[in-house]
Amino acid sequence: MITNKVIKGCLAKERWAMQQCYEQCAPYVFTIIKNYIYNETDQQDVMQETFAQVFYSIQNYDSNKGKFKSWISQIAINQAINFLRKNKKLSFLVPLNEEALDIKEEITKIERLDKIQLNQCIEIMPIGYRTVFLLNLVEGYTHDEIAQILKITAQTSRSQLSRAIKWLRKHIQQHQKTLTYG
Amino acid sequence: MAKNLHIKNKIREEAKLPPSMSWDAMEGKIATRLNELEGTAQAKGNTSNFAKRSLLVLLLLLVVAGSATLYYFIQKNPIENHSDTPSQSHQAIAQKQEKEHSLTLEKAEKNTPIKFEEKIIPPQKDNNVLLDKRGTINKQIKKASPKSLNNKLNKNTNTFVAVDDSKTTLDYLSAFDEKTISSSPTQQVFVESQGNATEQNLIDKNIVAVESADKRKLLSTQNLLLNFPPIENTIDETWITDKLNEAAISKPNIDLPTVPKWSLGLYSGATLWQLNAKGSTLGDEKAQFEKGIFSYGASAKIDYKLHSKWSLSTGLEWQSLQSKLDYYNEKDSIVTRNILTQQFVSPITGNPYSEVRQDVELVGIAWKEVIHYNNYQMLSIPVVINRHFHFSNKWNASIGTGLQYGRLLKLEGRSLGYKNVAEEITDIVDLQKDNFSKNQVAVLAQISLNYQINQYWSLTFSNRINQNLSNLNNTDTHTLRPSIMSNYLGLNYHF
Repeated sequence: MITNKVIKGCLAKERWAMQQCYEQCAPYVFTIIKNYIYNETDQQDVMQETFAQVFYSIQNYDSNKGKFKSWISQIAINQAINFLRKNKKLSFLVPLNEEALDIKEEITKIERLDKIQLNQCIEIMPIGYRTVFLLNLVEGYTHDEIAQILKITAQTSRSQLSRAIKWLRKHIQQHQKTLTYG
Repeated sequence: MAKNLHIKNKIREEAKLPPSMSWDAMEGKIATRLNELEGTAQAKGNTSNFAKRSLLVLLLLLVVAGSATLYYFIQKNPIENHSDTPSQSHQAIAQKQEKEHSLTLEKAEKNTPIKFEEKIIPPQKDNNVLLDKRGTINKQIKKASPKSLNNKLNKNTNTFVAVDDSKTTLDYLSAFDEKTISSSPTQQVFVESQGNATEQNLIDKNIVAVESADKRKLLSTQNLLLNFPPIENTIDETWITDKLNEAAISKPNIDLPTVPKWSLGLYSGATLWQLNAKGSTLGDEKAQFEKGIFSYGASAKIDYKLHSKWSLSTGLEWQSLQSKLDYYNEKDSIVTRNILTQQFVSPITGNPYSEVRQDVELVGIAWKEVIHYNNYQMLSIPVVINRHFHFSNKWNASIGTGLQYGRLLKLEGRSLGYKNVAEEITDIVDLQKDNFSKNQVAVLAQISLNYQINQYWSLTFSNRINQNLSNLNNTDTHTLRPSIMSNYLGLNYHF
């Protein structure tokens, strides 16, 4: 829990406050960042950028609008996406032929996966799919919001999610097959 | 889709922070980056402030330069010094006439006990000159337009009549043969009725009054005064008639410049515009990805002056409107390779063998930013009514409003279109004329600043905003009603 005292200290750029803020928020921020970025050096860069942005723009934080954790998580997501975009790691395919998909049913299947399986699958998921998947299903952004964040169309966002789910389905099947054979 | 907490909880289990990301390891890096950010922000702030300040300074400079030029011209070319130049505007002539008339009367009244009053006698068929009535200054002259002033100066009688409380003069003048007076209606008659005034007094006093007015115009009056008979003598009708006739012959012919009613102008300049796409996914995507950029245009304009303050203009305008379609295009290819195999030992033969256990997908991604520059060429006919504001004989401004009819001449480039309308799947397609309406109607408003170089030529800077009323796009899927802001500089010829 970040107290007002810590926030005020960060505003005054006091070292103890920044340290306390970092130590309390870093694990959570890291959890978010590691979903988007897998390389440790890159993760470090994004962590650095995220906290620099947090301390730099802390005067913009309004406790009436939401929790500090939500505010910092938005900064972390933005920084992760900026990093992917800057390094041209983020890409989206505009599908030519989209096969119809019952997303709800597929999501139920995904929900059945255990924590390790899900994290393993997401780790190897193509980066474009993964970003949209995380932003929509984990962060709860709508496709219009994702379109704005990623500078793509809402349609592309929808199709990326659909493809991400298909990709996951395929991997779940393979995983199950492996388990059966194994 | 709403946040899925099952998935979120599985993914977002708080991870342990690696030692490389502890505060001790990160503190220095964060501090360095923070300093950079603060430095950049300062610079950015300065840059954005600089841009705003630059704009303000530019506007201020324009205003100062405009005011200085205006002041310079007013100082250098005061209206009084230009009474004889043909390039003087009619407004200035009107002001000058008005000023001189009032000065004449004021000065005359200061230097003589005689009261002077001005009468403008309308050009009636039966002109009675109205000498037997006490005239009052005709205020209409102050409001007169150049055209009506011109008519009045040419056709009416400007009569300066000296009157006093004694009825002698009026009675005497009333006794004039009306036909004689009306046959020379352009004469100015000065008389004096004070019994004790000498001829010299009369002449001196009245010359002062006369000299204050336009010399050319009142030349005849001066001649008349210089030959005024001694007061003790009887002024007879024949003498007055002769002098009036003499004065009529010597009356100078004053040519006032005619007011040019028409002007022809050529304009060119830059335009900024936006497509204003709305409605459906396609409209939203167009609004997001296709933006109007700096464009250009030219026009020929003809203007007819309805009145000194109102004019009607029309013409032909050509505009080449550019837009930029900017999007990311990514292509990936997934190649599946059966490369993970598992080694087994046959329990029967004891020989080792391998089986494919997992396919591996190799994902290759090509990413590129694609920019298309589109061109919409329009030809239009604006009809504008303008209200002019005259600041001086050189500068005037006008505001105008009107309608514009336009035709879409040419389309080039690529834009977003529906690949599948039912499912609202968009794609990049060539711009096709069939998808656009050829006829366009727009409403416009403009503000112009004009500088009169001389009687025939003027320079105009105009800022115009057009808002399309009709839909540029002829499909029902979305609307395109562009807004165009044009900044043109033009040269006008008045005739």
